[in-house]
Amino acid sequence: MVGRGNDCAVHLPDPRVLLHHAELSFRGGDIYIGPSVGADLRINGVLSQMSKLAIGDVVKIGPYDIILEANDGTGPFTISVELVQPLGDDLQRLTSQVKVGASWVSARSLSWALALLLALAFFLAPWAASLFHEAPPALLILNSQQIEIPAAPTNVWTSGHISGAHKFFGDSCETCHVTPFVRVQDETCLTCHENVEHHADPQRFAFAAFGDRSCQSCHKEHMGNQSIVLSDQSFCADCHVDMRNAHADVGLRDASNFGTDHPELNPTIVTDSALHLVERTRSMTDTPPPREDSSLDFPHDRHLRPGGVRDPVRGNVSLDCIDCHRVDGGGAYMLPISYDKDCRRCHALKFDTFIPDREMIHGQPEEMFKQIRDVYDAVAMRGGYTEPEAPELIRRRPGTPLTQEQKKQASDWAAAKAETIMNGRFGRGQCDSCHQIFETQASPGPTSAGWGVEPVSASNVWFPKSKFSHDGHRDVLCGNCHEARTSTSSADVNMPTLAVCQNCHGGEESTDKVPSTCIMCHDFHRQDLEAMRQVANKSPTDKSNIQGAGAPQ
Amino acid sequence: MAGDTYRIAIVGSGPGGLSAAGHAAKLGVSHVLLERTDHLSDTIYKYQRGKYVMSTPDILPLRSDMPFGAGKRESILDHWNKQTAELKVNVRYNSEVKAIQKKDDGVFHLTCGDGAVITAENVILAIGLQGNLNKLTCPGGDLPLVQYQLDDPEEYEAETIVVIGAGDAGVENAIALSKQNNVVIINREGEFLRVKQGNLTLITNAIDKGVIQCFYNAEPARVEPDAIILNTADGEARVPCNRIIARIGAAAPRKFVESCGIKFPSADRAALPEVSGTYESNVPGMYIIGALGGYPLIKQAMNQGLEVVEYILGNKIAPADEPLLKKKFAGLGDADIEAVIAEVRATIPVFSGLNPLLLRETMLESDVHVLKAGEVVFRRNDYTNSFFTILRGGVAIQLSPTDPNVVVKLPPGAFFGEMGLISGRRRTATVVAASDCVLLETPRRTMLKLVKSIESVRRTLDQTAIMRQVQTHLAPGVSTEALKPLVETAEIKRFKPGELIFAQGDKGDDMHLIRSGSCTVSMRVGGRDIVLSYVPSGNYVGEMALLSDSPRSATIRAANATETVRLQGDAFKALLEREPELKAKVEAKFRQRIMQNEQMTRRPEAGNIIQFLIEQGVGEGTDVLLIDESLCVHCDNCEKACAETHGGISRLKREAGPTFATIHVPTSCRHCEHPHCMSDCPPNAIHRAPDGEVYIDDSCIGCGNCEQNCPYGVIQLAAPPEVKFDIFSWLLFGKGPGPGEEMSYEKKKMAPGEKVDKPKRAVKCDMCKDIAGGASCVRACPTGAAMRVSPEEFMSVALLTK
Amino acid sequence: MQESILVYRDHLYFKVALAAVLAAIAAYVWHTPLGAPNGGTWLGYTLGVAAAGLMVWLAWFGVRKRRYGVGKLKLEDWLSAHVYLGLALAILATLHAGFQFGWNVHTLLYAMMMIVIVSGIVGVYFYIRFPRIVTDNRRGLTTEIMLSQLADLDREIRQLGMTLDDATNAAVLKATQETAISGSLVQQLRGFDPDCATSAAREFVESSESKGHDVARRQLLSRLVRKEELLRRIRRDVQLRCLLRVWLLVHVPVSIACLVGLLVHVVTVFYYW
Repeated sequence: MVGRGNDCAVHLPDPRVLLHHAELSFRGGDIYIGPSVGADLRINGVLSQMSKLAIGDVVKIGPYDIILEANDGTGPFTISVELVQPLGDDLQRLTSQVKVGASWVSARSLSWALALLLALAFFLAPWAASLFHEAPPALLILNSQQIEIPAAPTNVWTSGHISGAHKFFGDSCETCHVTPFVRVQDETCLTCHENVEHHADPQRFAFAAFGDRSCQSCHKEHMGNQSIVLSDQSFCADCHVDMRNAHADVGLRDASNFGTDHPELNPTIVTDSALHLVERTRSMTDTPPPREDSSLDFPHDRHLRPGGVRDPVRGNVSLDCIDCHRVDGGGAYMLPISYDKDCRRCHALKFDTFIPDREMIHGQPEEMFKQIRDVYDAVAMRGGYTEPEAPELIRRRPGTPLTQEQKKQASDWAAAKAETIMNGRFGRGQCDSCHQIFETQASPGPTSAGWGVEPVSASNVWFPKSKFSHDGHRDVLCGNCHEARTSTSSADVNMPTLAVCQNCHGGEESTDKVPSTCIMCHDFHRQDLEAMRQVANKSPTDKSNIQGAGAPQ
Repeated sequence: MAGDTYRIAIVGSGPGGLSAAGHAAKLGVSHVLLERTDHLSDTIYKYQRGKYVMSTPDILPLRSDMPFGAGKRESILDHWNKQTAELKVNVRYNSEVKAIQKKDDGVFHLTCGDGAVITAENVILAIGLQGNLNKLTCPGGDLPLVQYQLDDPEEYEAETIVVIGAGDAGVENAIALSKQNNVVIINREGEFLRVKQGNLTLITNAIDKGVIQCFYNAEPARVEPDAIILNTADGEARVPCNRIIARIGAAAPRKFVESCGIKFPSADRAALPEVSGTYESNVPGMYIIGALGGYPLIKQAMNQGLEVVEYILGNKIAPADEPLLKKKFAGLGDADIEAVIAEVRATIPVFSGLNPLLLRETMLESDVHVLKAGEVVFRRNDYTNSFFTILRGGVAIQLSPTDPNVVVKLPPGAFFGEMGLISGRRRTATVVAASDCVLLETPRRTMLKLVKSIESVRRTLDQTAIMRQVQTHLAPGVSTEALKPLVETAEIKRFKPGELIFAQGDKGDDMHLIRSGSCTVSMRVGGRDIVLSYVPSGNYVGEMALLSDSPRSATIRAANATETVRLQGDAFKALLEREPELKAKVEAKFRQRIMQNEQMTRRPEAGNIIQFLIEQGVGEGTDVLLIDESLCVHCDNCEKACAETHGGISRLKREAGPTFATIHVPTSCRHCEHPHCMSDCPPNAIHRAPDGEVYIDDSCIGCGNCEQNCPYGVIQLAAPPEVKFDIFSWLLFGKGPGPGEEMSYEKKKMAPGEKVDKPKRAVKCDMCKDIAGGASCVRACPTGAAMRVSPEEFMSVALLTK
Repeated sequence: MQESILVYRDHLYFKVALAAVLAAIAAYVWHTPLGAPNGGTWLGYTLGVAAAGLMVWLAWFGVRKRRYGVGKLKLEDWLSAHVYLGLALAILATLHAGFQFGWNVHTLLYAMMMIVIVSGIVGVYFYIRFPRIVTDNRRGLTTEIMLSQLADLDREIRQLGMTLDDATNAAVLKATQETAISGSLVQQLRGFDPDCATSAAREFVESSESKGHDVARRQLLSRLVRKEELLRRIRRDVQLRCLLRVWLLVHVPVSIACLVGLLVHVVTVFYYW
């Protein structure tokens, strides 16, 4: 028996050997070896079953080599057993195993990898690409209606969304950022926004030129999808909080917060229609209130009488503001009132019940005189005029020829008749009901009648320095702001007072009202002043190109 | 032969004889150098191959025509051979001198082994001791397997070798051989008493590990061709062996020396003949130098060789150290050295017992301070531990830390600073010069040597020391007279680590003042000993029993090697009766201790920690690195810091070392009170800095003694790595070794063996004394787990762990 | 008995960081720039510079940690400050950004910074929590000792196995030869070996009905159980110590990337000024 069992003749004390690994047997001087069941046994390296051994054979059992050697005198042969693969040292094996942390990766290698990746992907690559990137100027994009703009590879560098107005070329950075490491220059803005006016007369106020500031110091881009017009109240208030002392000569009143610190509104009105004096001196709440001299006589209260007014055609109707006042196309202001559209329906200028189909010309008194005279000449010549008091000759059957004598009589009548009409209830009387009549020593003639009609001079925009949109206030009743129903005279300025606005509008921080900053009603750049920045080498002809390239902010 | 008579015959070609012969040859004096063997300087010739030979004492200048410096055995022998040839020294080899007779005409007749007779007017005996090694006297001692020296331990392999003799020589051989042989060492005594500390550690380790087998209390009975028979405590033992090496010492070849007419002072086996200041023996014309004259050091012998020749020629030559001493004493004005030495001997009792040469040597190693009145010698809590003696003038010791006017004045001849010497602790008082004075400062090491070897020194020291210790630690402000009766009862007791000083329940009739070492107070609570506190030196124990006339309330054990002053209880009580003030003080302390003990018995775990730390030998440290395992994140930054602040070698192993509760004691120096490493440093390279750091200076020769002597294995021999850690190249590119890493030599593609050539130095923690901001290990600990504490802080540490 | 970094010096660095954060928040609240708050206002620049400086300083810890024996402060000061100021950075940076985020390098940097800070928090947790667990788990033994114990057990187990039948012996041999302790990062972090040869052997010996040699069998079993227990502790030890380091594999690389990101951030911001 060969094995690790104590009972084995050849005792191989190693766990890698089976208890009874193999059997040695002698038959006729020969030696045979055979593995026991499931045992692995190699003779000279070949896996073997029971087989005869020759001198010099090497039998491998587990870690042992059993060599059959030639006779050394004691017996037919010698068996030498040699442990060729001793068990390793456990401690060494274990110690070599124990390692803490990863060997294949170190913080250093990872750091390099990440750092390089970052630098490459987010800096070098975009930058290199940007060298070959052609950024078309905004104008070109705009006017060629070119929709798709090549997006700049450096987009990852953007510090935030670009404002709505500039989105259409926002993807190409170099359009605005012309030279690296240099702030965006005003010239660049001006390529589009050429005529952006001053805020105040630079001759009078050095600061107003903002020479030390650039466009972007106020108009901050990349602040997200919003307008880049500063709406901050403080921006204006800084100066306007104390205009009275700081710049008395401007004559502006202090304003720093619409809710709490804003002057009463001053309407711009005509104070003398004859001299056409336009003034803006009195505020809505002054006493006596500002009165407008429009030379027109239009009592709103009578027209808006609850009982309604008599319409020659439809009978009794009650009027509303919008029957006469209509907003303009932009929806901001009201269109001017016109006789033809707004008055004529009720106030048709008929002058002779026996000539019912004729009306006086409106707006041109001279023409009107001439018209009346002509009408009656024609009637006298033709005849057939049916007024009972009229002479026979005029009432004759139309078309009957007249003698010279008769002709003379007829034209005289016509002239006389015209005069009575013109200066009578139908003529002068009718004009006088709305307009102011004045006498003239005009030389008699076909186009004069010794009196005339004052032209109407009513202001159409009472607050020219502020923006207002009726459309924006569509849902508010007119009466809330305009006290027309009780207005007995067209001299009344039916504009709202500050208080009325403040009913709904408060200052920037206002919580219970519509937060409203200055910019809501007032513009910073005043169209009435000249351009703020002069564009170098730009001929006026270019202007045509930039129509609508974004309204001046 | 009788024809030409040499002027000088020199017997023995050891360092002394060689030097003498060399000088004679140089001066052209007719001489002959008689050497027993066929080569020069047999003793050194027989040193182990490659043995490193010291040239102590360093301060002593070499004055000889023969070159000599510390170095390998081989190179030294070489130089000598060369020089001997150059000087044409007349050497007569193979001529062992059998007899020397002085004829009436005053001529010496030297009879050699080969029968030749050489005549000379003067004889210099420079035969040393090794010349006749003690031989095995037992039967078979002459068998070929017995040899008496070991030239090259590498020579033998896979032999069983018996080494007889438990001296340094024997132990060194045994250890050297044990590398590739199976070694048995025979020790006459029950332990190794006569060996250097270093060898002791080595041999005991080797025996514990079973590398070397040892027979204690055994004597060789007889030797057989293949074995040795021993008489052991339990009968005979037969040890089969291939080789026996007997290193059983050497003695003066007394018979021979006496046959020359030289007298020995005593019958003691180790006694040596007496010689005059000119090395002349009682036989005129016959001089004795070297080991035989009592000067075993090579350098001494060589100097003597030159001097003795000069003396013989009648020249009064000053000893070699004359100029050095002159320099030392320059401060005293151009005084004659002899006179000064005489003055020292006369005024300073401690030194009066030293023989002239020893005294001179001591003076050489000491420093002379000339101080103006009021100058400070040292301050309280300095960590200096040198020893001062007053030659002229006087000093004042300020006893009270607060009031500098409470002083004790010391007259000339008195000494001070001995407490630091004994306890190894900080100075206990400030000392200032009371008047203009001259002080001798003797280094600790020299002093300890003297205390060990010269009985008179030890006696004088102890008498005063005890009085002082009692005065300082027990009864401050009590007059010497008052203390006399108490001190007379005093005796000095020594305890081994862990040894019992007295046990709970014993009857207490004495008390102990701990003058060196430290001990633990423990109490039996619920059947097991609980350590209550740690008592460092400078405190007293055992007073409680005396005051309360009750048995011992607690057990006191030495935490480490401890010396106490034992005082009689009655005398002490008597003292207290006479000194009410003292009594009050002692009783206050007494009450405080009772309270403390009470407190501690209620929290054994703190006691356990003290116990644990004491077991780790922290008790004898003065500054120990501990790690709070509840904070340590095992980042090893402490080790790295240590390595990087000390040339790339860490003196600290964080993980190694025991842990208890959350306290971990890493392997790192504790800066012991009595550093084991200092005990045996040939170049005296280990010092204690004023702040207590024990450090090794550059004079280290890498002998490894300290490494062996340190019981805590915190000293290692290492060569600084050539590749230094460069933070950025490593951090960025992993170039070079990381912090604290040895750049492996494979990495550096070094030729094999190149490493061997790098001189290794002993390195140990120096507490970063040269780095501002304190110990790097503690400063480099990111989580604050590492801390350095001194034993006195144990209590607080222990309590804090609650 | 020693102070942990969190309470170090009576929360000195916590207080410092808190002060910085409060100051920043106060300034942010008080400051009303034209338009929305952003990195471009003077406060934005100030916070930006502060945050950038802080970032670099925090990263410098890696160097300072390895600059031994220099400086007045202990490393514990640095770590304590590192932790608290690191947390402060999160807030400073957020205020600097004025809560504006988008798909760009700047927000990427912010995100990475947050990753670093979070991983740092994890690290602190580990540092505070694990040491005690490690210590308890080791029961005062060092790794070497535990391993040598393991080796001894292996030897004994093999010896015992040899005296037993082949099947048992084979299982036991496997157990002694194929003890997996740490292995890959995943295995380390898992802290146990699902197909542990030792456990297998133990179960085998338990289940296999005794064929004599009961004594040897019992001894073998007890050894195997002891080894299993020891293995459990060693693996746990490796796991904990691995955790103590592995978080750095996130913390360090990303913070280095942050430095690069910081550079890119600053350059690009001014590239398109």
